[in-house]
Amino acid sequence: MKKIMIVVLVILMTCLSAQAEMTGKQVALMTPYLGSVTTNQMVEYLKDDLEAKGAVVTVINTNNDFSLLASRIEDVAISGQTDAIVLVSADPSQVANQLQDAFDAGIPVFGCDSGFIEGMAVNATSDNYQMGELIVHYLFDDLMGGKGTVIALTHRPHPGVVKRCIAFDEIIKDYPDIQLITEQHVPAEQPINDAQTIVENLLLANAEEGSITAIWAAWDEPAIGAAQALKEAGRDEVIVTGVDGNQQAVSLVAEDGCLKATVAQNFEGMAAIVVEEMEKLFDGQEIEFGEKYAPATLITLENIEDFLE
Amino acid sequence: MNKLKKVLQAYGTILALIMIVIVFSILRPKSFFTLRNFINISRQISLMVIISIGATLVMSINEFDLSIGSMASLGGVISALMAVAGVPLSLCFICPVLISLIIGWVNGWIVARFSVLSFITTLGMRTVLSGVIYRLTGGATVFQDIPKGYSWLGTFRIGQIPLLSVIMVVFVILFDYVMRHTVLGRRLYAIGGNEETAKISGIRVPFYKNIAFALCAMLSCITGMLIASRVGSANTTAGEGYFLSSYAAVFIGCTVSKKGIPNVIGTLVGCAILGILTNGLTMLQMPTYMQDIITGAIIIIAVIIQKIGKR
Amino acid sequence: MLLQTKHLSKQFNGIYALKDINFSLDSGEVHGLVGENGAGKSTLIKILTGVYTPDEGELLWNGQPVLNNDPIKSRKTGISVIHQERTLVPTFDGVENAYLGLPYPTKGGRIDWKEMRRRVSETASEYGIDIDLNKTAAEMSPPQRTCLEIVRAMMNECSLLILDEPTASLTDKESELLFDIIRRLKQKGTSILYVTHRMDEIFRLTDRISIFKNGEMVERIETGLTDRNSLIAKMTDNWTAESIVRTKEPGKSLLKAEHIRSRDGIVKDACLEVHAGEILGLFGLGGSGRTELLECIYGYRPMAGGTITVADRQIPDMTPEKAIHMGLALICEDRRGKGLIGNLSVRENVILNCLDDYSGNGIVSEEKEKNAVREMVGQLQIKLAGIEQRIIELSGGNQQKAVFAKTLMTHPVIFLCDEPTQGVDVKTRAEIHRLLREEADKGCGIIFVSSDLKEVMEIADRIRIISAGRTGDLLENNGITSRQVLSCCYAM
Repeated sequence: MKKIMIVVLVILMTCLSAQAEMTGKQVALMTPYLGSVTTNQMVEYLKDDLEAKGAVVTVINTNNDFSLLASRIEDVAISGQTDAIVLVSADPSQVANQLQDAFDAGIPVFGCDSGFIEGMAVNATSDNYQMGELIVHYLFDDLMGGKGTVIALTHRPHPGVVKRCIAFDEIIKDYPDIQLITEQHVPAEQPINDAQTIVENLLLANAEEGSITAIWAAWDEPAIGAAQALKEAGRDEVIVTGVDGNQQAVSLVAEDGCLKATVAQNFEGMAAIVVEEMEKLFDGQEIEFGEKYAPATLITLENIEDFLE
Repeated sequence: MNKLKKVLQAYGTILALIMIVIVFSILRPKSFFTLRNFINISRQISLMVIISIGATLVMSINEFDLSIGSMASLGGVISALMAVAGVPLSLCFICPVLISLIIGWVNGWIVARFSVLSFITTLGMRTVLSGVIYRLTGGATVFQDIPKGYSWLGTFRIGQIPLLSVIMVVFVILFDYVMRHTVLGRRLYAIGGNEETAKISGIRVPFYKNIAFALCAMLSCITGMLIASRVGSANTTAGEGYFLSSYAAVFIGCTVSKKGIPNVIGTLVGCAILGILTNGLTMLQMPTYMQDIITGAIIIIAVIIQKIGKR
Repeated sequence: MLLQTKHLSKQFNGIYALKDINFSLDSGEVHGLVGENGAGKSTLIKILTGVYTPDEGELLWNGQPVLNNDPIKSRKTGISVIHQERTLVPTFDGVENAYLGLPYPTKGGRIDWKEMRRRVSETASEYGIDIDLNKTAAEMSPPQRTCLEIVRAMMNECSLLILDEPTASLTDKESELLFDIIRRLKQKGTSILYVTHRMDEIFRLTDRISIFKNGEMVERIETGLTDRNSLIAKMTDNWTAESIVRTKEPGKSLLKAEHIRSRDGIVKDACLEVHAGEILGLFGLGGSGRTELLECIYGYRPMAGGTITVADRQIPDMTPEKAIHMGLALICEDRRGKGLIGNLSVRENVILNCLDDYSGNGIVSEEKEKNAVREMVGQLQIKLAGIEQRIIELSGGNQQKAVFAKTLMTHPVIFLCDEPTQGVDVKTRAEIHRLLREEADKGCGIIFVSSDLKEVMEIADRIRIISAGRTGDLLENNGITSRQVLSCCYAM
C-alpha cells in the first residue's frame, strides 16, 4: 500500500513539475465590461486555459466603471498576492497611474483586446484598425458600390472600437460619393435597445425609401438593434454591418436580413496568445513586449456555416 | 406679472412640452409631426414610463429607491434565464414579478422597521442585486436559446399600435386611479406629506411603506422583462440606463401638480418631454453631446420655472 | 454691578412680552429668576444672549452700555447660556465640543490637539468637573453633557452663566453634582442667572431673586428675606374662576390611565381618569410631561409601563389606529408638525382619520366624502375658499378648526386636547371652548391641557396637577384660587 502511495505521489509530482511555471500562480482578470458578450467570451477562454495549467484565477468586473477599475488595480498591486494581471477590453491609458503601481511592484500586466502602454508585457488583440478597414472597405466597395449615404453608430471611449471609428473616418474621405448622414454615440448599458431607438428616429427623419443606403455599427450590438428597427419599419433596403462576430449577430447574418456582414475577431486566439506569453515569462524566457495580433476574418452569408454554433 | 406667474405655476411644464413639440414640428414638419412618429415615441417612452411610475410611488411617500435600475436588470435576466430553461412563457413573466415584490417588501421593511434612510438601504440593495445578476449570468448577456415567442410582448403590434404602448397606457390609467381615488393612494400621499400626522391619524405607516416599495420593485421588474422581450436578450445592466432619467421624469412631473407632489400624469409628461427631446434631436441629427447638453438644460429650466411660479 | 438693564421693553405683534424692565445682577452672585409660564423669563434670556434685540431700553455691562444684537457678540462679552435643548455637536468628542466657536490652537499649520486637550482638561478640573473628554457628546449622559456645556462656557471666559431649567432632565443625585459645580463657579467669581420653576432649588442656591409676572418685573428680593408662600403669591395673580355650571354630574368612567411611564423617561408615573360628561384639566408647568402623557395614552409615544383602560376594557399595546377605533381623538399641540398635512387640501386632511368609512373595496367614494367634509366645515364655520384649498393657506384659527373637524369625523367619545387654543384668535378660542363643553354635555370625556392656568380654570370641571412627569393632586374647580393650584405644582 505504501509503495503504491509513493508511486502515485511521484507520478503526481512529475506531472506538476511539467507545468510548474504556472501552477499556483495568482492571475487577476480585470475588466469593466463583463456584461458584453465578447469580453465575457474572452474572460472564459482565459480562465479555462489558465486554470487548466494550474493557475488560480480571480475575475474582477466593475460594471462599466473605470474609476472603480482603477481602485481595484491599486488593491491588487498593493496586496502583493498577485503574480500577473490581465486587463480584458479595458483601455490601459485610462488607468495608467494605477498600472504604474503594478509595474513598480513587479507584477507583469497583460492586455487582452485592451491596448498597450509602456511598461506592459503583451497586449493580444485584433488589429482593430485593420478590422475597421476590412469591414468598411467591404461595406463601401462590395455592398454599396462606392456610393450612397451612411449612418455611423459608435462608442469612442472604448479603446478597440475607437480604432475602428478612426479607420472609418479615414477611409470615407476617399469616397466622395458616400455621404455620412450622422454619427450617433450608443451608450454601453443597453446598446441594442438604445441603437434601436436611435435608428427608429433616424428612419422617420429620413423616411424616403433609399435615403439611407447603409448603417455602419462599430460593434455588433448596435448593429443588432439597427437591424431590428429596420425590420420593424419594413426598410429592408438598408444595409447594416457590425464588427465582433457575436452569436446573435452571426445568426442574423445567416437569416439574410439587413445585417449583411460582421468581422470575427479571434478571441480564442487572443486568449491563447496571452496564456502562451505569460507561460514563457514565468518560465524565465525572454519575450518581446508590445502588441501581438490574432488575425480576424470577415463573416458574410458565403462563409456563415463556419461560424454558426 | 402676477398672472404670468400663475399661468407658469399651473401650466408651465405642459407649456414647455407643447413648445418643444412646436419647435420640432417647424424644424421637421414631414417627419416629426406625424401620427407614425407619435406612435413611435409612445413605444420608445413606454418602458421609461412604467419604471418611472414605480419611482413616483416611492417618492410619494418621500422616500427614494436607488435599486430600480438593477431590479429591472434582474427582472429581465431571471425571466430570460427561465425562458432559456424552457419554463412556460407565462411563468417566465409571473415568477420574476413575485420575486420583485418580495425584494421591494424587504426594502420597505428595512426602511420602516429600522428607520434607515431609504437612500442607503436601496443603495445597498442595488449592489446586492448587481451581485445576484453576476452570480446568475457570470456577467454575460443572456441571449442564446431564447424561444421566439419570448419576444412577443415586446414586439407585437395591434394594427399600427405597439403592444408596449398599450401596456404603458394601461399602467398610467391604473396607477393614476390608484393614487388619486383609492385609500391606498391617499394614505401614501398623507405619509409623504407629513409622516407624524399620518401616524397620529391611525395610518399604519410601515405597512404602507412596504407596499410602496414593493409596487415600485414590481414595476421596475416588469420594465426589465419588457426590455428583454423587446431586444430578445437580457443585458446585465439593461435597467441602469433608466435609473437617473426616471427620477428626472418624476421631478419634472412634480411641477405639473399644483401641490408640487409626485403624480402619475406628471411623470408621464416628464417622460414625454425627455422622450420627445431624444426623438426630435436625433431627427435633427444633432451630435450626441449636444443632445445631452440640451436635455440637461431643459430639465433644470423646467424646475426653475416652476419654482419662480411658486414664489 | 456686572449687568444692568434700563427700561427694557420688547413687543411681539403689539403685545408686550417685556415691559420697562430694570433688572440688575452683581458679580459673583447666584440670581434666581422666577415667574409663571409667559411671565417673560425666556424673552429676557434671549435679549441677554443677543437672540432678540430690545425695542426700547439699554443694556449696561460693567456700567458700560453695550450693543448686544447677536449671539456671537454676546458670547464674546462673557454671557453664556445653557438651555434645555443642548447645543453640542453629537458626533464631536468633549475636547472639540468645548472648542466650538473658539479658534483652534495650531502648531506649524496643523491643529495642536494636545494643547487643546490640555487646556480643556485644565478648565474642567478647575471647576471640579470630571468627564471623559474622549467620549462623543452622543455617548455622554445628560448630566455629563450639562457639565461639558459648562466647561465650554468657561473656556470662553464667561462671567455670566445663564442656566435655564438645568435640572429638568436630571435625577436628584445628578442635580446634587450640578449644585456643587454651581457653588464652585460662584467661589471663582462667576455670576449665575438661575431660571427654574422648582422652588426648593431657588431657596437652596440663590442669593437674590427677581420675580416676573405678565412681562413685568414685580420685585427683586434677598432670598433670605422671603419664603415659598410669599414668593408664589408675588408670582401669581390671585383669582377664582367662576364656578362651572354643570348640566349633570359626571357619569361612568371612560378612560383610566394608571402608572404610565414613557420609554424616553419623560413621563415617570402618571395616573388619571376621565368620566363621561366631564372636562378634566391637566395642568403643569413647562417640561412637566403633559404632552408626552397624552401621546402615551393615544399610543403614539412608546410606553415603558402602566395600563390604559378604555370603557372598562384594558388595552395592551395601544396604537393610534386602535385609539381611533376605541373613540379617542388627539388634538396635538404641534399643529403643523403633527396635526395636519400642509400641502394637502382641506378635504384630504379632514377625511384622513376616517377614510375607511368613506370608501368601499379600497376605493374612495368622492361624492360622499365631499358632502361629509362640506357639512363638517359648515358646522364648525371654517372660513375657506373651498374644500380643495391647501390647508396651509388657512389662518391659524381656521387650521385649528380643521383639525377639530378631522377628529370629529370619527365621532370620538374621549378628546385628548393639547393646547387646543394655541395661536388662535379670541373668537375661535371661545368657539373651541363651547364646542368642547357641548361634546362633554353629550356624554363625552375631555382632557384639556393648557399651559395657561387661567384658561384651564375657565373650562375644566376638575384639575389634575402634573409635574416632572408625575401626576399629583386632583382639585375640584369649585371656588379654588389660582394660587392654590400653583402651590400644588410647586410643592411637588
